[in-house]
Amino acid sequence: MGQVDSRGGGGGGGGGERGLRSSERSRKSGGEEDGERERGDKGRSAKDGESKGAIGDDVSLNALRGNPTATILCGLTLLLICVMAFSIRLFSYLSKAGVYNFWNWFDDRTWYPLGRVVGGTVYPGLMLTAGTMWKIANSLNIPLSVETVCVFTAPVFSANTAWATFLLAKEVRGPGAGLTAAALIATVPSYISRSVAGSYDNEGIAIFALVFTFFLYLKTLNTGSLFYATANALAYFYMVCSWGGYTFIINLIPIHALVCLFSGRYSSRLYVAFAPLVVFGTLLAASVPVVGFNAVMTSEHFASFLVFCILHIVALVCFLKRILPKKTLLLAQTVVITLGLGGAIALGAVLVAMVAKSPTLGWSGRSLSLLDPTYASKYIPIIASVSEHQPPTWPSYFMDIHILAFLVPAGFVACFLPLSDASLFLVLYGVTSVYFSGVMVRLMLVLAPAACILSGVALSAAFNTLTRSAKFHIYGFIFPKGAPVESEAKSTAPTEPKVTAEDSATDSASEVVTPKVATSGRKRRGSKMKEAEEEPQRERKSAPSKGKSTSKPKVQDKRTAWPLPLDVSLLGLALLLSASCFYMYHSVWAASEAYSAPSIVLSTHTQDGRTHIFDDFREAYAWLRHNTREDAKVVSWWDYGYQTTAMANRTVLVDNNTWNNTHIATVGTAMSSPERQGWEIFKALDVDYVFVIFGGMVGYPSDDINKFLWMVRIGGGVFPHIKESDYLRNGQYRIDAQATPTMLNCLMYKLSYYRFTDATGDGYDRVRGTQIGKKHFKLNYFEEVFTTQHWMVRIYKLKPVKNRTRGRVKARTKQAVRTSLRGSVRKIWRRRRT
Amino acid sequence: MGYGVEMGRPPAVVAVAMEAVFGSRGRCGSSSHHRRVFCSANVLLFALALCAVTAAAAATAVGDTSSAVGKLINTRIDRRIDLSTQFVKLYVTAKMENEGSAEVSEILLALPNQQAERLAYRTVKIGGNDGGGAALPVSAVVPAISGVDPALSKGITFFAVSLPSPLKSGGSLTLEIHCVFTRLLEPYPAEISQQDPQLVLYHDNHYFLSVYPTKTQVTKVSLFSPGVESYTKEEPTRKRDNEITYGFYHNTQPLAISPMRIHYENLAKFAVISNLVREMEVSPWGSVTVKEDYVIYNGGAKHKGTFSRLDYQLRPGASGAASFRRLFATLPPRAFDVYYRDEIGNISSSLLRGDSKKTELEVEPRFPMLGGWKVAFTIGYKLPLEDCVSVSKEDGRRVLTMPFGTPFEDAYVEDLTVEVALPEGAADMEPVVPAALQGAAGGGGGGDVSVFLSVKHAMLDITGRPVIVLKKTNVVAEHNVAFQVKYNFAAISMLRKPLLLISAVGAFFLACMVYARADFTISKSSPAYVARKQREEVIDAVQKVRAVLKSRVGLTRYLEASLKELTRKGEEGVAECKAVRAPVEEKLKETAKSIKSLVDRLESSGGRSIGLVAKVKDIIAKEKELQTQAVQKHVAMVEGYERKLAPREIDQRVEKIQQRLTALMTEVRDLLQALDE
Repeated sequence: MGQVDSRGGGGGGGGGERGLRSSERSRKSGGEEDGERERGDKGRSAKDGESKGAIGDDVSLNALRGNPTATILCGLTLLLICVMAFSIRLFSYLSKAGVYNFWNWFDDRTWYPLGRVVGGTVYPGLMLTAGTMWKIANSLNIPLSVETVCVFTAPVFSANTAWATFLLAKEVRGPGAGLTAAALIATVPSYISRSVAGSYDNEGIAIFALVFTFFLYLKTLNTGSLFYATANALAYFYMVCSWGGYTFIINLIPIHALVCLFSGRYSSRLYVAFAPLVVFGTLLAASVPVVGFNAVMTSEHFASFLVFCILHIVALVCFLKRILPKKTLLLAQTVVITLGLGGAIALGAVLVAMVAKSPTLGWSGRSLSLLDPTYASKYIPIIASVSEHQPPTWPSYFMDIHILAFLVPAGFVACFLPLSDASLFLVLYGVTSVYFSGVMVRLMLVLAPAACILSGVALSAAFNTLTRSAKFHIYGFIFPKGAPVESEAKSTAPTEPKVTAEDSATDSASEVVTPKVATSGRKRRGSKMKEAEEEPQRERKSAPSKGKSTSKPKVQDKRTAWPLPLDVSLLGLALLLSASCFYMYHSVWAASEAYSAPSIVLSTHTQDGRTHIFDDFREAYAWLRHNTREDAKVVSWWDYGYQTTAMANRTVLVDNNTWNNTHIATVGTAMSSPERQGWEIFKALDVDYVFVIFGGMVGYPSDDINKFLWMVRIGGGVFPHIKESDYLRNGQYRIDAQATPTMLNCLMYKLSYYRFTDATGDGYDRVRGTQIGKKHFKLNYFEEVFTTQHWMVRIYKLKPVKNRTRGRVKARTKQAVRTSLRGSVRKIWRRRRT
Repeated sequence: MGYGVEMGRPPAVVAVAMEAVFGSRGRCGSSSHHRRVFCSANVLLFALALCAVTAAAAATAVGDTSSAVGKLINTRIDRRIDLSTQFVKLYVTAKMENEGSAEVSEILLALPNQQAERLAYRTVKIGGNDGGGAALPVSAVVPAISGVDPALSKGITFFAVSLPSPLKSGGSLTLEIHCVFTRLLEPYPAEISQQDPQLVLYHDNHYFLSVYPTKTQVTKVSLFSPGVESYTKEEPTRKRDNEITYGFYHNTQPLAISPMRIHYENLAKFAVISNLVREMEVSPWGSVTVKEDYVIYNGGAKHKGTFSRLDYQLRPGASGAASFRRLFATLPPRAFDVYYRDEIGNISSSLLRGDSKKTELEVEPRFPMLGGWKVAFTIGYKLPLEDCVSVSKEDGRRVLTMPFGTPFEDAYVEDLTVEVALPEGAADMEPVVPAALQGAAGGGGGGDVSVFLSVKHAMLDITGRPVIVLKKTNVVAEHNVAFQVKYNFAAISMLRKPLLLISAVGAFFLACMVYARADFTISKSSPAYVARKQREEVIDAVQKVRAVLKSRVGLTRYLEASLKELTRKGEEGVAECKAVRAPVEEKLKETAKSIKSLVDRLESSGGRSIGLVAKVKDIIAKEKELQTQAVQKHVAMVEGYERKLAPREIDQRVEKIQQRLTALMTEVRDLLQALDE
């Protein structure tokens, strides 16, 4: 990936930007495919270090052997991932102060000096869920600490997700599919990344809420029960509480309803499923502070209202059709169409005008970047800078859903055999989530349940056919030409549409293959299982009206009577099972290698097989926590904001909740400015400490130098005197001798490489793979107060305003008495400074 | 003025000198507050003394000793002051002789106030053969009452040692005194940069401070290293390597003072635990859990300016010499489940090794501890219950024995809290605190152990577990002795929680059972209710029919299986196969009866389910035909074999029946499915 570019590109320039993205991604999402590569890199660089000379050698030896081996590993509070740190802080506030104070909480610990209204800007679902769990446990005198509850919230909810997935798939294609889908989602790597113990993240519970809402929608759709409709609205409310992704629900369900309407599938069940959800769902959503009036004001929600209207029109037409004689109906139609068309056009025009008034057409930036994948990179660098908002690569599909990627198309096919309301929904869910996951890596999470259910449907259909054929050959040859009898009777399911669906699907599958097998004899066996799934479709074309009526003439019997040959079915089974085994193997591997490692603690293996741990982040946070003033203000790039507030318990200027672009741009500008300007900006913001993440010593690629271009871009977006081109030499981002003077003099460069040459001897940066451009320099406005063991975090303190600057300040404000004495003092001072 | 004429000074001058020497201590650290308190106490004592002693015994000569002090003399004093750590450790061996006529039962010891304030630990034992090694009871006393001249005793704290048996006139004994002081070494300069070594100042007296005249005395001061900036001399004074020897001095006057000041290099760990909470929890199920929360800082000279990791890594010895990186703790043997973490998670830099006598834990704080830097962490471990709890032979109570202080060497605790949570149901708690902890510091800074009781609710507790809280300040390694808690605990109490859980789960299931069985319908005559009842009945009947039909299909299979056997065995199997048929037919008849009764029930119960009844009847009819066909086939095949027809012929005969059979099977299957819906 990009990281290879940045290392292999040589001269540190190479694909700077691509390197940038990938490295960020690896840090952010706590793993993905970069996780282990990163570690591998580190191992390699550590080895480099040993073979290299001089001081660098010394340091890396220190790094490797200086630490005693880790023998004590406490099982608790292991993983603290980025956003989670903030959530835990929220939760501990919630548990102390109670719900009502939580709504009104103004957090002055962050976004200094602005502060942040937390109650109104955070999705409270996770906090409330964990809070309820904690309260229940404590009321039973089970003394769980806040952290313990946080750590285990995600695993508990992943179990719930498996259950909800079972229910959803069962609604679509019966319990067989349900079980398969649940088994698949239980281990799907994409979801594991959010449900490992310690991943205290919105998505952890939101995926459950998402799947459960869909299940209740389908349940309502299948039964027409108002009870489930109400439950559906409540589940939707829970989803709104938990995650911004709720807009996916409120768009997908209308799309499904609309497709149903246009394909002539309107029924009272659809009405019961859809209308209450829109009404109650919207009301409930509006009562969540962070959504509020957005539930009726923004374009994300308009689809549901529009479909709501259309649904009522259709319902009215159906009603009229029933009560009016044909002639009157025609008359009414013409009247309504002529009158209504005019009105509708006028109304539509007004609506369009209103929407068009807002520059983004009423869509929020994040939604727009979904609809137009290039939007963010053009207009909102801060969204584009987040690695999770980048489009995924093909390997990441394979990494995250493995064989499901191949089973999903089969699942689509199986959904059409036959098409029911529920399976139509599944198709739409699959299609939209595939699209969204293609836009943003992060939304791979939404794809995971869809992929699991689709694959579950496909797999269970295939298994059904194959096992039935096998059974037929093994047990059933006493009926030479008959179909097995009662084993079939078992595979029935409660609701009507499903049963016929599954039955006929499997039937047709077995029917179909026969001629094929007969003709093609020994075809390539590897493709057999595919055939088993795909052929039904072909068959369906030839016998489209094959149906639900139970008493069929002998024609069908004969066709049913032709199962797959024994060897084919056994081979297909073996192949499917082995594919499933590979899937499990991969999932276990991904869970243990890629997703279980907390991004904040890195590790590598030394040559003698021991694990060496890089715990620099927490070292720095602990230092800040214990050895700085209680009210000290700490500034860093926003990625580390949440961690700093939670772990170091210090006030930060910017954090991962990027609500104020200008503030972030100010920090970016300070980092991109020369030392003195940077110091002035920070002083003006009342900052005491600055820290940077620096990977050049041990080869940690996600450091601030690699992210630096984003700081320049975001800063330049607000303060035009920062120009990206000043930092690039011939369009290449580099920090070696070829780098631009602006780059070599900017604050970020200086803070990262201060005394780096003294430590390594030649100033060789292990991440960029090059010697740095400016080797020896002094800091005049900052002093190093702490650097962690592997130099990954470097903390600087702003020097106080010097006494002599008084004269200078006055001179600038033109109030100074320009005596010759003061002038000469100033000259001396200036000379010294330069 | 009997003794020490050549050394003697006027008493008033002595007092002033005392102030001058020890007063400088008052400026550093936080002792100024204490000082003020004690000064005012002194004033009070002084006033008392004026009334009680001076006025009454105006004529008493200056050198005369009162009766309480007795006519003791120190024949020889060997004093060793260990300054090689952050503590000041004082070892004194004093040979004393009673020269008076009266018996002496109390011996007075004297410490300057500044030292007494920082006194953490002190024992006095009788040395030699007759001592027995037991620590003697010591109490702080008011000097005026003891009869010491108040003018001399200003700025001095006195302790009285009660002897087990009075010292007769002319008798002699050896006292062994051991004291530990904390924070007596003053970092000077108080702030150093990373490159500087750490220098400290130590103030004391060249002479051993005693209310008795001393014949011969010698003082050896051991330092951290040979590096000494400056030290006062009182001839004869000798310095060799890291030891300075003062003395021998002869015939020293009581309470004679000659200020000593040593400014030397001390790079020992100045690890100070400002706050330690040790929580112990006894589980009757086999372990004692210990959790210790530490707040530690480096109490040496404060670090100033930058911290350069580069220098620290390049010159580990020279740069940041006064800092420390590791701490060592000695845990009890067989400690298990040891952890080391802080509020942001596990700390991976630690090492654990153990043998049968102890468990050694080496922890490394997250960052090197430079002067003044602070860090907080938690360590915890478990101990097997049988190692800590025994049953006392006297009263049958359980006795928990645990170490009191911190397991960390080279560190002292400013404020220690020990919380012992006993299992729920424990009663008659009684802490037994050893003498080494009680009143050890006497009138100085560290106080007694204070004891509180509280209750704590944990894991499924109902009444809560009793907690005994012990508090003490200024705790050093010498305090790390075992203390005990005695309590009564009935073994039956162990079963509380299992029983609680069992009954909770039982209650849950019971509630479920009641809910599933009881009828919560409000109106029993509403049409909906009746309809539901009917429906349930119909469903029940249909299910039963289905079950019976299934068993009948099974019979068919049985027949088929016997046929299969027949085809395999040929003619030999004919008899066997024939034998199968009769019971099958019988069973079929039986089941037919039950079906009939079921259908009757169905008809009677379900007025609304006529369609369903028809369906069921249809199925039954079809099924009956199926059975007859199956039997026919069986008959035909058996016959065929009996007649020894060719297999092909048999097949031909059976074929028609077979076709019909297959068709029926499919039909029945479909019908059954339809029925389910």
